[in-house]
Amino acid sequence: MRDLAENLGVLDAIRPVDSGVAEYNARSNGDHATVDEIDLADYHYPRKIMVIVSVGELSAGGTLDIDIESGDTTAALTNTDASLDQMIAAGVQVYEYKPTRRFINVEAVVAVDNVTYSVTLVMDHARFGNMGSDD
Amino acid sequence: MRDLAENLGILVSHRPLEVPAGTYNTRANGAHNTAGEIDLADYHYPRKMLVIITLGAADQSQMFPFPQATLQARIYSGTASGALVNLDKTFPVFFTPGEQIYEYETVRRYVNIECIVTNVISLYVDFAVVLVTDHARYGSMGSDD
Repeated sequence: MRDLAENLGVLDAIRPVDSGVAEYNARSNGDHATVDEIDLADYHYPRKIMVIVSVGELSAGGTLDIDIESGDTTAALTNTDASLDQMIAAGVQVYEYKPTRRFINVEAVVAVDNVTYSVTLVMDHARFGNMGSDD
Repeated sequence: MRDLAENLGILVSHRPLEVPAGTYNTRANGAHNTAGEIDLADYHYPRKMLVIITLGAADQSQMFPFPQATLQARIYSGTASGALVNLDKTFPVFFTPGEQIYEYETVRRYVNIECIVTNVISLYVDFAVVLVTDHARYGSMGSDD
């Protein structure tokens, strides 16, 4: 790895906010769009993605569940590719995700009581698809 | 890059929290220790690290003159523990939800990401800092392994 920034892309999928009991989807908070999905075509079809889930604080009994969903067409993310361990205490989970479909979503479900958390995606810049090589 | 996870280290410097005015040092929140510094010896002396600062929300008062909570981050470093006297980077102040990313080239063993939340009344900022480090070594070995 010659240069870290040139090799990686960073996307704040869910920004850190004290969140009430609800379902939260990628890019649906803060000033982001509310599309509930990430089109990997916008990010050069990363071959791998590090999904970084960080929990800073939970109200009593609060829980956080994270699913990674994907689909071949927009608004039809019918595949659950990964379910991370439920988080019930402050801490971090990192998951290396290998996307196989164009559209993905990181779905976060807060239950029982508030959780302050964030989800950051770190992507490689290697391409896959028709070109068959990195550029 | 053959494998993303094998090539990178992830360290959550500041866990996501809603905090009032104050100075927050790296690894001093959540269940982390309160050392206020990162010893890069614990992370194989990364050559570079991406510092990712994410702001989720910053309160704004509705009272005149509409004070706004703000966040500013700085990177300090030092060659000895507890003596981080070098200011390596000052980030722009920001107060709207968003992200700042900086590629930091490490030159000293101890590092701190200092985050300053300012406001004039009880306003809060939700933010987090994530560090992504490479695993290339530097130092006496003179090569990556």
